[in-house]
Amino acid sequence: MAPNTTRTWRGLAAAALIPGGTAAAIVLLTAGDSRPSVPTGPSAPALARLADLPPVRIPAQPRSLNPVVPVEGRIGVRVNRLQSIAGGIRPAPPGRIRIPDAGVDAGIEAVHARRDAIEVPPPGWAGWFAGGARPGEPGRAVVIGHLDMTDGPGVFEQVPFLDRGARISVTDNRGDVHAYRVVGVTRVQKRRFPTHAVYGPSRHPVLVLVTCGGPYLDGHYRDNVLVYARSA
Amino acid sequence: MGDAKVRFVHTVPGAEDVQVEATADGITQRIGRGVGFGEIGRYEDVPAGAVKFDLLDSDGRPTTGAREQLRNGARYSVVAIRDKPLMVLRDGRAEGGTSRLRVVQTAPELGAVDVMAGDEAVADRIAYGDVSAYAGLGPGAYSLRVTNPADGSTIASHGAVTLTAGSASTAFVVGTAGEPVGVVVAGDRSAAPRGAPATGLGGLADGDSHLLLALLAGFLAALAGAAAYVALTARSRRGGP
Repeated sequence: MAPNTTRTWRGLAAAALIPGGTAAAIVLLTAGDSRPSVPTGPSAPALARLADLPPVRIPAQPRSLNPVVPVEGRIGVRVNRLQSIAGGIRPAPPGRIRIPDAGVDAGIEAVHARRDAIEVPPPGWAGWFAGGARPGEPGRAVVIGHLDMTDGPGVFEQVPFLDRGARISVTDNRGDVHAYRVVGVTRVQKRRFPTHAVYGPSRHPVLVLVTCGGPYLDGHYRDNVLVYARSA
Repeated sequence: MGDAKVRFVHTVPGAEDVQVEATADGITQRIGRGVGFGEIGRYEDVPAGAVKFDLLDSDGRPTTGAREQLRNGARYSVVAIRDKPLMVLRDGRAEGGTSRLRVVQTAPELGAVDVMAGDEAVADRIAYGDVSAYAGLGPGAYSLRVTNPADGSTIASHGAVTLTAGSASTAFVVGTAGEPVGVVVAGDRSAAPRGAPATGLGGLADGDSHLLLALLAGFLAALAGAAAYVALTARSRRGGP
Protein backbone atom coordinates (compact mmCIF):
# COMPACT_ATOMS: atom_id res chain seq x y z
CA MET A 1 0.00 0.00 0.00
CA ALA A 2 1.44 3.41 -1.10
CA PRO A 3 2.02 5.96 1.69
CA ASN A 4 -0.33 8.93 1.66
CA THR A 5 2.65 11.33 1.66
CA THR A 6 3.57 10.61 -1.96
CA ARG A 7 4.48 13.87 -3.74
CA THR A 8 1.95 14.85 -6.46
CA TRP A 9 1.37 18.04 -8.42
CA ARG A 10 -2.14 18.20 -7.03
CA GLY A 11 -0.81 18.01 -3.49
CA LEU A 12 1.82 20.64 -4.22
CA ALA A 13 -0.81 23.00 -5.67
CA ALA A 14 -3.05 22.52 -2.66
CA ALA A 15 -0.15 23.12 -0.27
CA ALA A 16 0.64 26.39 -2.02
CA LEU A 17 -2.85 27.73 -2.83
CA ILE A 18 -4.57 27.08 0.49
CA PRO A 19 -2.19 29.09 2.69
CA GLY A 20 -1.61 31.64 -0.08
CA GLY A 21 -5.28 32.34 -0.60
CA THR A 22 -5.94 32.40 3.12
CA ALA A 23 -3.14 34.90 3.73
CA ALA A 24 -4.30 37.17 0.91
CA ALA A 25 -7.88 37.12 2.16
CA ILE A 26 -6.81 37.93 5.70
CA VAL A 27 -4.79 40.90 4.49
CA LEU A 28 -7.63 42.25 2.36
CA LEU A 29 -10.21 41.87 5.10
CA THR A 30 -8.14 43.36 7.89
CA ALA A 31 -6.57 46.13 5.83
CA GLY A 32 -9.99 47.60 5.13
CA ASP A 33 -10.38 48.28 8.84
CA SER A 34 -7.61 50.85 8.96
CA ARG A 35 -10.28 53.56 8.42
CA PRO A 36 -13.55 52.67 10.08
CA SER A 37 -16.40 52.80 7.66
CA VAL A 38 -19.43 55.00 8.28
CA PRO A 39 -22.58 52.94 8.55
CA THR A 40 -25.38 53.79 6.17
CA GLY A 41 -27.39 54.62 9.30
CA PRO A 42 -30.83 56.24 9.31
CA SER A 43 -32.19 57.62 6.08
CA ALA A 44 -31.33 61.18 5.13
CA PRO A 45 -35.00 62.28 5.26
CA ALA A 46 -35.31 60.82 8.78
CA LEU A 47 -32.25 62.74 9.94
CA ALA A 48 -33.51 65.87 8.20
CA ARG A 49 -36.73 65.66 10.21
CA LEU A 50 -34.81 64.94 13.40
CA ALA A 51 -32.65 68.01 12.89
CA ASP A 52 -35.62 70.26 12.12
CA LEU A 53 -36.39 71.06 15.75
CA PRO A 54 -36.46 74.30 17.69
CA PRO A 55 -33.06 75.39 18.95
CA VAL A 56 -31.95 73.89 22.22
CA ARG A 57 -31.63 77.46 23.45
CA ILE A 58 -33.40 80.47 22.00
CA PRO A 59 -30.99 81.98 19.48
CA ALA A 60 -30.21 85.65 19.43
CA GLN A 61 -31.36 85.86 15.83
CA PRO A 62 -33.34 85.27 13.78
CA ARG A 63 -36.41 84.64 15.91
CA SER A 64 -39.60 83.05 14.81
CA LEU A 65 -42.66 81.83 16.63
CA ASN A 66 -43.37 78.21 15.76
CA PRO A 67 -43.09 78.83 12.05
CA VAL A 68 -44.74 76.81 9.34
CA VAL A 69 -42.59 76.07 6.35
CA PRO A 70 -44.04 75.29 2.96
CA VAL A 71 -42.97 71.77 2.11
CA GLU A 72 -43.03 70.83 -1.55
CA GLY A 73 -46.24 69.13 -2.45
CA ARG A 74 -47.33 68.76 1.13
CA ILE A 75 -50.46 69.89 2.80
CA GLY A 76 -50.24 73.34 4.27
CA VAL A 77 -51.60 74.48 7.60
CA ARG A 78 -54.60 76.75 7.90
CA VAL A 79 -54.54 79.41 10.53
CA ASN A 80 -57.36 81.90 10.88
CA ARG A 81 -56.15 83.92 13.80
CA LEU A 82 -53.66 86.72 13.60
CA GLN A 83 -50.22 86.03 14.98
CA SER A 84 -47.45 88.50 15.31
CA ILE A 85 -43.94 87.57 14.36
CA ALA A 86 -40.85 88.75 16.14
CA GLY A 87 -38.71 89.89 13.28
CA GLY A 88 -34.97 89.39 13.06
CA ILE A 89 -31.97 90.47 11.07
CA ARG A 90 -30.84 87.97 8.49
CA PRO A 91 -27.49 86.40 9.43
CA ALA A 92 -24.51 87.36 7.31
CA PRO A 93 -22.96 84.78 4.98
CA PRO A 94 -20.77 82.30 6.88
CA GLY A 95 -17.06 82.91 7.20
CA ARG A 96 -15.60 80.16 9.36
CA ILE A 97 -16.53 76.71 10.64
CA ARG A 98 -15.16 75.03 13.75
CA ILE A 99 -15.74 71.41 14.70
CA PRO A 100 -13.47 70.58 17.66
CA ASP A 101 -14.19 66.84 17.61
CA ALA A 102 -13.16 66.59 13.96
CA GLY A 103 -10.20 68.96 14.14
CA VAL A 104 -11.86 71.40 11.77
CA ASP A 105 -11.10 75.12 11.95
CA ALA A 106 -11.47 76.36 8.41
CA GLY A 107 -12.62 79.28 6.36
CA ILE A 108 -15.81 79.04 4.37
CA GLU A 109 -16.11 80.04 0.74
CA ALA A 110 -19.43 80.46 -1.06
CA VAL A 111 -19.95 77.80 -3.73
CA HIS A 112 -22.61 77.75 -6.41
CA ALA A 113 -24.49 75.33 -8.59
CA ARG A 114 -22.99 74.62 -11.97
CA ARG A 115 -24.58 72.86 -14.90
CA ASP A 116 -24.18 69.33 -13.57
CA ALA A 117 -22.84 69.65 -10.03
CA ILE A 118 -22.00 71.94 -7.17
CA GLU A 119 -18.66 73.75 -7.11
CA VAL A 120 -16.14 72.39 -4.63
CA PRO A 121 -14.04 74.64 -2.39
CA PRO A 122 -10.26 75.00 -2.70
CA PRO A 123 -7.96 72.89 -0.49
CA GLY A 124 -8.24 73.73 3.19
CA TRP A 125 -11.58 75.49 2.81
CA ALA A 126 -15.17 74.46 3.36
CA GLY A 127 -17.82 75.49 0.84
CA TRP A 128 -21.28 76.89 1.65
CA PHE A 129 -24.03 76.51 -0.94
CA ALA A 130 -24.89 80.16 -1.50
CA GLY A 131 -28.21 79.36 -3.18
CA GLY A 132 -29.70 78.06 0.06
CA ALA A 133 -30.14 79.15 3.64
CA ARG A 134 -27.42 80.86 5.62
CA PRO A 135 -26.31 79.29 8.88
CA GLY A 136 -28.38 80.73 11.70
CA GLU A 137 -31.60 81.25 9.73
CA PRO A 138 -34.47 78.82 9.16
CA GLY A 139 -33.65 76.39 6.38
CA ARG A 140 -30.95 73.85 5.64
CA ALA A 141 -27.55 75.47 5.33
CA VAL A 142 -25.33 73.10 3.35
CA VAL A 143 -21.56 73.12 3.89
CA ILE A 144 -19.33 70.77 1.89
CA GLY A 145 -15.70 69.83 2.40
CA HIS A 146 -13.15 67.44 0.98
CA LEU A 147 -12.58 64.10 2.66
CA ASP A 148 -9.16 63.96 1.05
CA MET A 149 -7.02 65.54 -1.61
CA THR A 150 -4.72 63.70 -4.01
CA ASP A 151 -1.86 63.79 -1.54
CA GLY A 152 -3.46 63.51 1.87
CA PRO A 153 -6.40 64.32 4.10
CA GLY A 154 -8.95 67.00 3.34
CA VAL A 155 -10.57 69.52 5.64
CA PHE A 156 -13.49 67.16 6.44
CA GLU A 157 -11.37 64.02 6.87
CA GLN A 158 -12.73 63.33 10.37
CA VAL A 159 -16.23 64.68 9.81
CA PRO A 160 -17.71 61.24 8.93
CA PHE A 161 -16.79 60.00 12.40
CA LEU A 162 -18.59 62.71 14.39
CA ASP A 163 -20.75 61.43 17.19
CA ARG A 164 -24.25 62.56 18.00
CA GLY A 165 -24.11 65.66 20.16
CA ALA A 166 -20.80 66.91 18.73
CA ARG A 167 -20.57 70.68 18.65
CA ILE A 168 -20.27 72.71 15.46
CA SER A 169 -20.00 76.48 15.32
CA VAL A 170 -20.22 78.70 12.29
CA THR A 171 -19.08 82.30 12.53
CA ASP A 172 -20.66 84.61 10.01
CA ASN A 173 -19.08 87.60 8.35
CA ARG A 174 -20.52 89.94 10.98
CA GLY A 175 -18.85 87.92 13.72
CA ASP A 176 -22.03 86.29 15.04
CA VAL A 177 -21.59 82.66 16.05
CA HIS A 178 -24.26 80.08 15.16
CA ALA A 179 -24.02 76.91 17.21
CA TYR A 180 -25.21 73.46 16.21
CA ARG A 181 -25.24 69.96 17.67
CA VAL A 182 -24.93 66.83 15.52
CA VAL A 183 -28.09 64.71 15.48
CA GLY A 184 -26.86 61.97 13.16
CA VAL A 185 -24.57 60.79 10.39
CA THR A 186 -25.52 58.75 7.36
CA ARG A 187 -23.91 57.49 4.16
CA VAL A 188 -25.68 57.52 0.81
CA GLN A 189 -24.68 56.40 -2.65
CA LYS A 190 -23.98 59.37 -4.92
CA ARG A 191 -26.15 57.95 -7.67
CA ARG A 192 -29.07 58.10 -5.22
CA PHE A 193 -28.19 61.46 -3.70
CA PRO A 194 -31.20 62.65 -1.62
CA THR A 195 -31.39 66.15 -3.09
CA HIS A 196 -34.59 67.19 -1.33
CA ALA A 197 -33.44 65.91 2.07
CA VAL A 198 -30.24 67.94 1.73
CA TYR A 199 -31.34 71.15 0.01
CA GLY A 200 -35.08 71.21 0.78
CA PRO A 201 -36.72 73.62 3.23
CA SER A 202 -36.94 73.28 7.00
CA ARG A 203 -38.75 75.17 9.72
CA HIS A 204 -35.72 75.77 11.89
CA PRO A 205 -32.01 76.35 11.32
CA VAL A 206 -30.40 73.08 10.22
CA LEU A 207 -26.80 72.52 9.18
CA VAL A 208 -25.93 69.76 6.72
CA LEU A 209 -22.28 68.83 6.25
CA VAL A 210 -21.43 66.87 3.12
CA THR A 211 -18.25 65.01 2.28
CA CYS A 212 -17.25 61.81 0.50
CA GLY A 213 -17.11 58.28 1.83
CA GLY A 214 -17.43 54.61 1.03
CA PRO A 215 -15.19 52.68 -1.35
CA TYR A 216 -12.93 54.50 -3.80
CA LEU A 217 -13.68 53.05 -7.23
CA ASP A 218 -12.38 54.16 -10.62
CA GLY A 219 -11.05 57.43 -9.30
CA HIS A 220 -14.17 58.42 -7.34
CA TYR A 221 -15.70 57.78 -3.96
CA ARG A 222 -18.92 55.88 -4.40
CA ASP A 223 -20.77 57.57 -1.55
CA ASN A 224 -21.40 60.83 0.24
CA VAL A 225 -21.47 61.14 4.00
CA LEU A 226 -24.14 63.50 5.37
CA VAL A 227 -24.00 65.00 8.85
CA TYR A 228 -27.18 66.65 10.12
CA ALA A 229 -27.00 69.14 12.96
CA ARG A 230 -29.70 71.14 14.71
CA SER A 231 -29.43 74.62 16.09
CA ALA A 232 -28.15 74.65 19.64
CA MET B 1 -40.20 62.53 -23.66
CA GLY B 2 -39.81 62.43 -19.87
CA ASP B 3 -42.18 63.41 -17.11
CA ALA B 4 -43.65 66.52 -15.57
CA LYS B 5 -44.65 66.74 -11.94
CA VAL B 6 -48.27 67.54 -11.15
CA ARG B 7 -50.09 68.10 -7.87
CA PHE B 8 -53.76 68.54 -7.15
CA VAL B 9 -55.10 71.49 -5.17
CA HIS B 10 -58.66 71.25 -3.85
CA THR B 11 -60.34 74.60 -3.21
CA VAL B 12 -64.01 73.82 -3.90
CA PRO B 13 -66.03 74.46 -0.71
CA GLY B 14 -68.43 71.66 0.10
CA ALA B 15 -67.05 69.20 -2.44
CA GLU B 16 -65.68 65.99 -0.99
CA ASP B 17 -63.94 63.00 -2.49
CA VAL B 18 -63.04 64.69 -5.74
CA GLN B 19 -60.06 63.54 -7.79
CA VAL B 20 -58.31 64.44 -10.99
CA GLU B 21 -57.65 62.16 -13.93
CA ALA B 22 -54.75 62.89 -16.25
CA THR B 23 -54.94 61.33 -19.70
CA ALA B 24 -51.95 61.27 -22.03
CA ASP B 25 -51.61 59.11 -25.14
CA GLY B 26 -54.72 57.18 -24.19
CA ILE B 27 -53.37 56.27 -20.76
CA THR B 28 -55.26 57.61 -17.77
CA GLN B 29 -53.94 58.02 -14.24
CA ARG B 30 -55.51 59.49 -11.14
CA ILE B 31 -53.69 62.08 -9.11
CA GLY B 32 -54.47 63.65 -5.77
CA ARG B 33 -56.05 60.66 -4.07
CA GLY B 34 -57.35 61.55 -0.63
CA VAL B 35 -56.89 65.30 -1.02
CA GLY B 36 -59.70 67.14 0.77
CA PHE B 37 -60.88 70.71 0.69
CA GLY B 38 -58.12 73.19 1.46
CA GLU B 39 -55.41 70.59 0.94
CA ILE B 40 -52.60 70.20 -1.55
CA GLY B 41 -51.46 66.83 -2.86
CA ARG B 42 -47.94 65.62 -3.44
CA TYR B 43 -46.27 66.07 -6.78
CA GLU B 44 -46.81 63.03 -8.97
CA ASP B 45 -45.17 62.08 -12.27
CA VAL B 46 -47.26 62.60 -15.39
CA PRO B 47 -45.85 62.04 -18.89
CA ALA B 48 -44.81 65.27 -20.60
CA GLY B 49 -46.74 66.28 -23.69
CA ALA B 50 -50.41 66.93 -24.38
CA VAL B 51 -52.41 65.99 -21.29
CA LYS B 52 -56.16 66.21 -20.64
CA PHE B 53 -57.21 66.73 -17.04
CA ASP B 54 -60.68 65.85 -15.77
CA LEU B 55 -62.12 66.62 -12.34
CA LEU B 56 -64.17 63.67 -11.08
CA ASP B 57 -66.93 63.98 -8.52
CA SER B 58 -67.50 61.50 -5.71
CA ASP B 59 -69.28 59.16 -8.16
CA GLY B 60 -66.34 59.21 -10.54
CA ARG B 61 -68.10 61.36 -13.13
CA PRO B 62 -66.15 64.11 -14.89
CA THR B 63 -67.46 67.58 -14.01
CA THR B 64 -64.94 69.91 -15.59
CA GLY B 65 -61.54 69.71 -17.20
CA ALA B 66 -58.62 71.37 -18.91
CA ARG B 67 -55.93 70.59 -21.46
CA GLU B 68 -52.30 71.49 -21.12
CA GLN B 69 -49.03 70.86 -22.90
CA LEU B 70 -46.77 69.66 -20.09
CA ARG B 71 -43.05 70.21 -20.39
CA ASN B 72 -40.46 67.67 -19.37
CA GLY B 73 -39.14 68.42 -15.87
CA ALA B 74 -41.63 71.23 -15.20
CA ARG B 75 -44.01 71.35 -12.24
CA TYR B 76 -47.70 72.14 -12.31
CA SER B 77 -50.56 72.72 -9.89
CA VAL B 78 -53.97 71.55 -11.07
CA VAL B 79 -56.44 73.61 -9.07
CA ALA B 80 -60.08 72.64 -8.67
CA ILE B 81 -61.98 75.90 -8.26
CA ARG B 82 -65.73 76.40 -7.86
CA ASP B 83 -67.80 77.17 -10.99
CA LYS B 84 -64.73 77.45 -13.20
CA PRO B 85 -62.71 75.06 -15.35
CA LEU B 86 -59.71 73.37 -13.77
CA MET B 87 -56.78 75.77 -13.50
CA VAL B 88 -53.42 74.36 -14.62
CA LEU B 89 -50.66 76.56 -13.23
CA ARG B 90 -47.02 76.27 -14.11
CA ASP B 91 -45.11 76.34 -10.81
CA GLY B 92 -42.15 78.68 -10.73
CA ARG B 93 -38.47 78.13 -10.26
CA ALA B 94 -36.55 78.84 -7.10
CA GLU B 95 -33.85 81.46 -7.22
CA GLY B 96 -30.72 81.07 -5.16
CA GLY B 97 -30.55 83.18 -2.03
CA THR B 98 -34.07 84.62 -2.24
CA SER B 99 -37.61 83.51 -1.44
CA ARG B 100 -40.43 83.79 -3.94
CA LEU B 101 -44.14 83.75 -3.18
CA ARG B 102 -47.24 84.03 -5.35
CA VAL B 103 -50.93 84.08 -4.47
CA VAL B 104 -53.92 82.28 -5.98
CA GLN B 105 -57.37 83.56 -4.96
CA THR B 106 -59.79 80.63 -4.90
CA ALA B 107 -62.44 81.79 -2.39
CA PRO B 108 -65.54 82.33 -4.57
CA GLU B 109 -67.49 84.76 -2.39
CA LEU B 110 -64.59 86.87 -1.20
CA GLY B 111 -64.12 89.22 -4.14
CA ALA B 112 -60.87 91.05 -4.74
CA VAL B 113 -58.44 91.09 -1.80
CA ASP B 114 -54.96 92.22 -0.94
CA VAL B 115 -52.43 89.76 0.49
CA MET B 116 -49.60 90.97 2.68
CA ALA B 117 -46.49 89.13 3.83
CA GLY B 118 -45.56 91.04 6.95
CA ASP B 119 -45.59 94.64 5.75
CA GLU B 120 -44.97 93.79 2.10
CA ALA B 121 -47.76 93.52 -0.45
CA VAL B 122 -47.60 90.23 -2.34
CA ALA B 123 -50.91 90.55 -4.22
CA ASP B 124 -52.88 93.72 -4.90
CA ARG B 125 -56.66 93.48 -5.44
CA ILE B 126 -56.42 89.91 -6.61
CA ALA B 127 -59.81 88.69 -7.83
CA TYR B 128 -61.39 85.26 -7.61
CA GLY B 129 -59.62 82.87 -9.96
CA ASP B 130 -56.61 85.13 -10.47
CA VAL B 131 -52.96 84.28 -9.93
CA SER B 132 -50.37 86.86 -8.90
CA ALA B 133 -46.83 86.95 -10.20
CA TYR B 134 -44.13 85.60 -7.89
CA ALA B 135 -42.90 88.30 -5.53
CA GLY B 136 -39.35 88.23 -4.25
CA LEU B 137 -39.09 88.36 -0.46
CA GLY B 138 -36.20 88.21 1.92
CA PRO B 139 -35.89 84.82 3.63
CA GLY B 140 -37.54 84.75 7.03
CA ALA B 141 -40.76 84.19 8.95
CA TYR B 142 -43.82 86.09 7.82
CA SER B 143 -47.39 86.53 8.88
CA LEU B 144 -49.56 86.29 5.76
CA ARG B 145 -52.69 88.47 5.91
CA VAL B 146 -55.66 88.63 3.58
CA THR B 147 -57.03 92.14 3.79
CA ASN B 148 -59.93 94.14 2.46
CA PRO B 149 -58.65 96.59 -0.18
CA ALA B 150 -61.32 99.13 0.80
CA ASP B 151 -60.30 99.64 4.41
CA GLY B 152 -57.26 97.44 5.00
CA SER B 153 -59.06 95.31 7.59
CA THR B 154 -57.79 91.78 8.08
CA ILE B 155 -60.06 89.06 6.72
CA ALA B 156 -57.80 86.10 7.54
CA SER B 157 -54.20 85.43 8.32
CA HIS B 158 -51.68 82.65 8.30
CA GLY B 159 -49.19 83.08 11.11
CA ALA B 160 -45.49 82.33 10.96
CA VAL B 161 -44.85 81.13 7.44
CA THR B 162 -41.15 80.46 7.03
CA LEU B 163 -39.86 81.25 3.57
CA THR B 164 -36.35 79.86 3.26
CA ALA B 165 -33.66 81.15 0.96
CA GLY B 166 -33.72 79.46 -2.43
CA SER B 167 -37.39 78.52 -2.38
CA ALA B 168 -40.54 79.29 -4.37
CA SER B 169 -43.96 78.91 -2.75
CA THR B 170 -47.63 79.48 -3.50
CA ALA B 171 -50.28 80.76 -1.07
CA PHE B 172 -53.85 79.74 -1.90
CA VAL B 173 -56.63 81.88 -0.43
CA VAL B 174 -59.44 79.40 0.26
CA GLY B 175 -62.85 79.39 1.90
CA THR B 176 -66.28 81.09 1.83
CA ALA B 177 -69.46 79.29 0.72
CA GLY B 178 -69.75 77.68 4.12
CA GLU B 179 -66.04 77.37 4.87
CA PRO B 180 -63.89 79.75 6.92
CA VAL B 181 -61.47 81.88 4.97
CA GLY B 182 -57.88 80.72 5.29
CA VAL B 183 -54.55 80.61 3.53
CA VAL B 184 -52.81 77.39 2.53
CA VAL B 185 -49.14 77.61 1.63
CA ALA B 186 -47.17 75.02 -0.31
CA GLY B 187 -43.57 74.90 -1.50
CA ASP B 188 -43.13 74.79 -5.27
CA ARG B 189 -39.38 74.38 -5.69
CA SER B 190 -36.08 74.59 -3.82
CA ALA B 191 -32.80 75.70 -5.33
CA ALA B 192 -30.46 72.73 -5.48
CA PRO B 193 -27.44 71.79 -7.54
CA ARG B 194 -27.64 68.73 -9.75
CA GLY B 195 -25.78 65.63 -8.71
CA ALA B 196 -23.70 64.84 -5.68
CA PRO B 197 -20.69 66.81 -4.42
CA ALA B 198 -17.32 65.42 -5.53
CA THR B 199 -15.45 66.04 -2.29
CA GLY B 200 -12.81 63.33 -2.43
CA LEU B 201 -9.72 62.98 -4.59
CA GLY B 202 -8.50 59.63 -3.27
CA GLY B 203 -5.49 60.65 -1.20
CA LEU B 204 -6.68 58.51 1.70
CA ALA B 205 -8.00 55.68 -0.44
CA ASP B 206 -5.74 52.66 -0.11
CA GLY B 207 -7.46 50.00 -2.14
CA ASP B 208 -4.52 49.54 -4.56
CA SER B 209 -1.88 49.28 -1.85
CA HIS B 210 -3.99 46.75 0.03
CA LEU B 211 -4.28 44.66 -3.12
CA LEU B 212 -0.51 44.63 -3.62
CA LEU B 213 0.00 43.73 0.03
CA ALA B 214 -2.50 40.90 -0.26
CA LEU B 215 -0.78 39.55 -3.39
CA LEU B 216 2.60 39.66 -1.67
CA ALA B 217 1.26 37.92 1.44
CA GLY B 218 -0.45 35.30 -0.67
CA PHE B 219 2.71 34.64 -2.71
CA LEU B 220 4.87 34.26 0.39
CA ALA B 221 2.34 31.98 2.09
CA ALA B 222 2.04 29.87 -1.06
CA LEU B 223 5.84 29.58 -1.27
CA ALA B 224 6.03 28.51 2.36
CA GLY B 225 3.23 26.00 1.90
CA ALA B 226 4.86 24.48 -1.17
CA ALA B 227 8.25 24.26 0.61
CA ALA B 228 6.66 22.56 3.60
CA TYR B 229 4.91 20.09 1.32
CA VAL B 230 8.15 19.24 -0.50
CA ALA B 231 10.02 18.81 2.78
CA LEU B 232 7.29 16.62 4.24
CA THR B 233 7.08 14.33 1.23
CA ALA B 234 10.89 14.07 0.98
CA ARG B 235 11.13 13.03 4.65
CA SER B 236 8.39 10.44 4.10
CA ARG B 237 10.26 8.96 1.13
CA ARG B 238 13.51 8.72 3.09
CA GLY B 239 11.70 7.06 6.00
CA GLY B 240 9.75 4.63 3.75
CA PRO B 241 10.32 0.80 3.46
